[in-house]
Amino acid sequence: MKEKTIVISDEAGLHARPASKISKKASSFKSEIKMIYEGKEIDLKSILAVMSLAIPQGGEVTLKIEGSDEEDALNGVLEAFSEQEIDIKK
Amino acid sequence: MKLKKGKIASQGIALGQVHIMESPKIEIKEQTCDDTEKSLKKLNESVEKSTKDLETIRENAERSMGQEEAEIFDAHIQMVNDPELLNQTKAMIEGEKLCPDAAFDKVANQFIEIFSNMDDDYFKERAADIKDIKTRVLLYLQDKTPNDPSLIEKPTIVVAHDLTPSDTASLNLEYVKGFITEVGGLTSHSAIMARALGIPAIVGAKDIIKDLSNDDFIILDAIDHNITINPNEKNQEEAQKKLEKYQAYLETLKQYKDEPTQTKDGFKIPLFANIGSPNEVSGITQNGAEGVGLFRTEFLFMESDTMPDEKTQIEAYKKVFETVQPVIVRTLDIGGDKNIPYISQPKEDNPFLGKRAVRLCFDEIELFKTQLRALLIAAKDQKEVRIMIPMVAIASEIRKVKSILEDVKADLKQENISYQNNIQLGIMIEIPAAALNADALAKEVDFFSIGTNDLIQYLFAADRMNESVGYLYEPYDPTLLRLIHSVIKAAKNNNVEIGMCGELAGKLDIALVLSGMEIDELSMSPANILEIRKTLNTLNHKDLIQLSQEVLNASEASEVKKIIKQFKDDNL
Repeated sequence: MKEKTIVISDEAGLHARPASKISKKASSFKSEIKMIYEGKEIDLKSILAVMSLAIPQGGEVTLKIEGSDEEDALNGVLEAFSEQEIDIKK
Repeated sequence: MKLKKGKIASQGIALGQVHIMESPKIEIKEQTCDDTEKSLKKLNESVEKSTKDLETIRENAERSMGQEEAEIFDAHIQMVNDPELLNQTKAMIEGEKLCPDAAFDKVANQFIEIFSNMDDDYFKERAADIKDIKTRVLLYLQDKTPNDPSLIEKPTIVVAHDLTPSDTASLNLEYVKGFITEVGGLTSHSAIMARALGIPAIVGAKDIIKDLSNDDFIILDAIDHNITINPNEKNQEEAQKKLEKYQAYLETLKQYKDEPTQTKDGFKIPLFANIGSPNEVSGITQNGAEGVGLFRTEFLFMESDTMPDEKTQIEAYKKVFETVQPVIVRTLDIGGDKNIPYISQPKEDNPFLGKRAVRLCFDEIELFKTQLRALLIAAKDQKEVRIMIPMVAIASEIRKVKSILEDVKADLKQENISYQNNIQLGIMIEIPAAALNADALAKEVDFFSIGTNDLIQYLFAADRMNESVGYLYEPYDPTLLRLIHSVIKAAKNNNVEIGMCGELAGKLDIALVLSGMEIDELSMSPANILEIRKTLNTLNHKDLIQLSQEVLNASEASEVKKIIKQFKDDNL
């Protein structure tokens, strides 16, 4: 299992357009990809679940990835964050 | 079968399939369906159909509005296929044996609830997105078809009870050849939009939806005022010929597109366009407008569930400023018959005499300031952008606007944001008190623009939407024309520019009279520009002056009409 904690430092938080692209990217992997924010664990492949977290600027989230392609999945998702110009720290 | 109903709002002829814009009603009963396999199959099919629809809408949106706007439909496609949404629905179908529509409705509503309760306006708006996709899937689950104008892909005549500005904006103009509405008069928004888009339209066709169905093919003749339902071949051929003849006439007008508007003896009367959204800029160039005399900004505010932020506004304004100048932007004119969801307005007994336009802006000061800020920033590198304030009655209102504008400028300066410091400020003359006091008001502003729709209704105390007092809503009345003349004179005496942006400016007869009164510009629906230019360019200004003097001496509307008819017979 892979785990990684990041901070959403984008001014607008995690809005629909980037959220949509990130969860689309997540859907392209076989692994189970969970995102945890303030104790709530959701499926990163679900755009509704991602948006219902309403992660603001400064939100700290943890990614938990488990499956046959977990290594690629983690890299892919992190890449999607940076492509959307969502600054991530840590 | 032939029908003659309503009024012609925009001229032309169109042939096409009827598309009745009426959302089918959805009723959810919480019933159980024991055949879960069948339910799951139904769910999958409906999701697939919805996805296909959304992909088409996405393509259309990208073509008509651009990549960025289309991306929201990517999010819609993902929402329809969302694993949480679908897995929870499946669990409910399998566990509680709920029918698929009831299950989907329940799960989607939970998400809508979550989003509606968020503090962030942006996320609140996403609830509307989920509602949108919910409706589509539910319709398929109930074996109904969504009624979606953006999905139209063959020549179509849209028939609706009423069309909102955003409905009209979502029409796919490649295929929508005309429209008919059951309500609305010639100055209603759907009528104004039809003229702006240059497609034939009949409005106020009472109960016409009863006479038509989606299987009908019709000829919409908005020249001779006929609607022919399921015409035979001969009728269709005739209509086709008439359409070609009409298009040929429009073609002859096109040679005036790049000409200035100027009488034979050299008097210039620039013809400007009225527009209601940045999407209408194509009409400006196609019809050779020499500027924009009225850029209405309401639609920007009415299309959204929350106040459009500064950035959104700047982008919309810039799109227009970069196409054509001069541009006169009218600040928010709501209240009356136009409301926006995020401003709570107490119910008024007489909304048209109540807190509307600038009166409302004084109360919603943040909203007003944001708009002024966005305008000043968007106009930064532009020479000919002007701001116009609607519904000013007395001088102190202008002074109040000026002091607010100064505050906004001071804020910008302090924040080191560059903006247009030399912006011209003007007012609409649409309240009789302002018209009568034009000489004093002229000393406070850089320009006037006469708004005739409201001026007529306030002058004659006759609601323009109320047909039973329609006889009083009379643009040819000499009392009105004398009042307009006095405003023009007051403006000239004070070296203030004077134009007209009401519907009257686009009426050929009145345009002739106003040119004789030496008005500085006329602003109208883009579709009217070329015909008026063609006419003015064949006349002499000295004859037009003579015409306006005769009209000013008339004693009633019928006499004015007679004088103008005689003039046209002699000179055209």
